[in-house]
Amino acid sequence: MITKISSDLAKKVFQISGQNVYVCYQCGKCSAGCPVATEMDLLPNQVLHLVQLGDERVLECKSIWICAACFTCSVRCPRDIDLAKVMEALRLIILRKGIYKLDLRKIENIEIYPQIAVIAAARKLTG
Amino acid sequence: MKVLYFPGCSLKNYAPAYEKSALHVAKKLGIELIELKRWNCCGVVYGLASDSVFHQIAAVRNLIRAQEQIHESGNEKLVTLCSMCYQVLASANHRLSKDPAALETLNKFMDEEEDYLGTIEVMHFVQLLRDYIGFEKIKEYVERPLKDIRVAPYYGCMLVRPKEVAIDDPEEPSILETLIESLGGVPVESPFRTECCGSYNVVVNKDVVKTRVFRIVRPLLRNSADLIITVCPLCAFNLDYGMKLASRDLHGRKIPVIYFTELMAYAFGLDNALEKETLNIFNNLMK
Repeated sequence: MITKISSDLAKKVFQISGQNVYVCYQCGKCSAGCPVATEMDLLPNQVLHLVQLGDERVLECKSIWICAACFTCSVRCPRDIDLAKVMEALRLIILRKGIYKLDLRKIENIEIYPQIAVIAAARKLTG
Repeated sequence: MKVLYFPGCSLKNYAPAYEKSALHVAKKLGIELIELKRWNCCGVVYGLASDSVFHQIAAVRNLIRAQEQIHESGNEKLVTLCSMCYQVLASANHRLSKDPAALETLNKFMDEEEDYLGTIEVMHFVQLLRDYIGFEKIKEYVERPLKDIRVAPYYGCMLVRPKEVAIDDPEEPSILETLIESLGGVPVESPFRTECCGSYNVVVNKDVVKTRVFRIVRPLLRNSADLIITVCPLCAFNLDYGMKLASRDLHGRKIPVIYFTELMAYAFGLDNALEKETLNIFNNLMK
């Protein structure tokens, strides 16, 4: 098993999530089962691969914000990587800089949504 | 049996029908749900960062409130109806059982509250029914068997994932199917019953929910489902709203979405536990 965490990005991810992305052998099971993969620009296994490579462009992808933390990948990963935690770590790298992805004042027709939806979005997309 | 009960925000405004039906059903089964005093929002989504306890504060405060009140129920169970509340409280509880340093940090942060001892057992109401009442026993309370009503179970994510807090098999759960059968209904095959409804994406990216709900509901229409039952107020909203968004793809067809406790209330003959609109849906189906 490769346990050395070589890229700086992977080290940050490990620090936040406790997940070592280098145990992933790119089987693609996470992407095959991801219910929102069709809306993503990078598939979950590709997100992981870029983190393995230390490619910071992964922080610009849409996928990490589309991931709704449904844990389907997490329960299926044959290498026991909790990918939902990796996605959260990537979001937090951005959110902890004070860069937010949701402005509550700009949600259209906010009154139609139950607060459970609005607060969940605020928790995931702001700091 | 007395059990402490955490309602959460949705049950008090968006989903009062869920709470009302559950309280009536519980009473009928001899369960007294004692609402937690001074509860606060659970946090809705569980904070996944392991280097921070910031997102666990709200959950832990509720667990302490439960601890303060266990003398009223005589046991350490805390029951929720909303599955998002369940997952947040159960996940925080699970983490603290494995991470004494996090527990210590959180206890230091609290001011007026007593220390959390980590002994509260968070349960979902349907889990309580299975484990402490039993579906065989539930059959005895059925006064109006749901003969031939075809009910599609929808679990969503939070009761069956992640593994640490799952109340049933993450891939092939059966608790809702068993419940439907015990009420005399016909469980409809629901192939995407554990696939995400799109969750909070509805606020920022409605298309995600439209696509998801189309995929979840289309096989249910094919399988002639009369009703969909859910365990989660957000799933309930998204399924209903998503069917409107995907109306053209679904050829304008819709399936009513209700909470599993409403299904139970009807089967138990508890008309006053149901909203008029829901009662009408049942009365039409039973004709």
